[in-house]
Amino acid sequence: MEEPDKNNSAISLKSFLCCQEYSKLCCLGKDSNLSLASRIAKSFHHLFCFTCRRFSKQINVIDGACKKVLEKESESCKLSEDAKNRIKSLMKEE
Amino acid sequence: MNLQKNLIQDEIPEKSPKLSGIDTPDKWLSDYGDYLFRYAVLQLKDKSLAEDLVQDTFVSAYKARDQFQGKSSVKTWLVTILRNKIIDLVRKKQRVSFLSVENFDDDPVIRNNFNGAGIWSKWLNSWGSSPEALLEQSQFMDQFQSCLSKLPENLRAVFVMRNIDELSTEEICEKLDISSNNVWVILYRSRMRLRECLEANWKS
Repeated sequence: MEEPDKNNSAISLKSFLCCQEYSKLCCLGKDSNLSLASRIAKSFHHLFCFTCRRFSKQINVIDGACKKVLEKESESCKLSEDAKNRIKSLMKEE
Repeated sequence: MNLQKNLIQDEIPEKSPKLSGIDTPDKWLSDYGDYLFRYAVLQLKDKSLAEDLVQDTFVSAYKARDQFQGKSSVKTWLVTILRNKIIDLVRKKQRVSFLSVENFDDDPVIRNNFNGAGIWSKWLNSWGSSPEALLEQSQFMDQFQSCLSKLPENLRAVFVMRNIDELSTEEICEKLDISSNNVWVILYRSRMRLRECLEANWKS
């Protein structure tokens, strides 16, 4: 899916992005195909802005955490034994 | 009820062989019960509602077990049924609030991050270890989960569909009947809020 049209004011592209625009493109690039102009502008900003490079890393960590969060078992988030027994009984009735 | 029945039928191939060896309620509950419950709580936050939907998922899947073809794992099949039930619920409850999220910058958390020139208003802290090492730390994952649970319900629902269920933007638009711009803005705000929460609470 292409990125939002420039004319709908979602993203306004300029030759030099500010950090706020970079942050949008950085996130948008994970969910859509950025245009060539956007990718170039983003890469250029990435090259020269230390803070945005750190932002980009942090966003990658967040996406990585999403892939692991369900695998992590949690004592505080378990189906209770009562609920399990109730569900088993209902299933056996089927 | 009919809608739920249709959602289940959508996921079940026709003329499939019966599950063998694994089709006992005890096995299903012990193998997938906690996982499905965690999945539902992550999306809904409300444990009681999550429990109801997990129950509904097990019962309706078990009822239709003869139609399970085995092209995917039982776990994937059950998650798909549960996900459809959650989407159905979220769509009814949140559609209006999804539609109101259409401007990238119209969010106080985002505005506070940048000055008038669009430059970061404060230095971003290092989170310490390499990304791989960070994701291995259970304290970091606990903090991440806590931040995820603090996202507003409409943001969290879409964020989970995209990043945990790995649905495409097009699929989310179709399932929730919202525009791609709505989805992009919701995902942007979600990531910005999660980053802000982790920045404030995670000490490397």
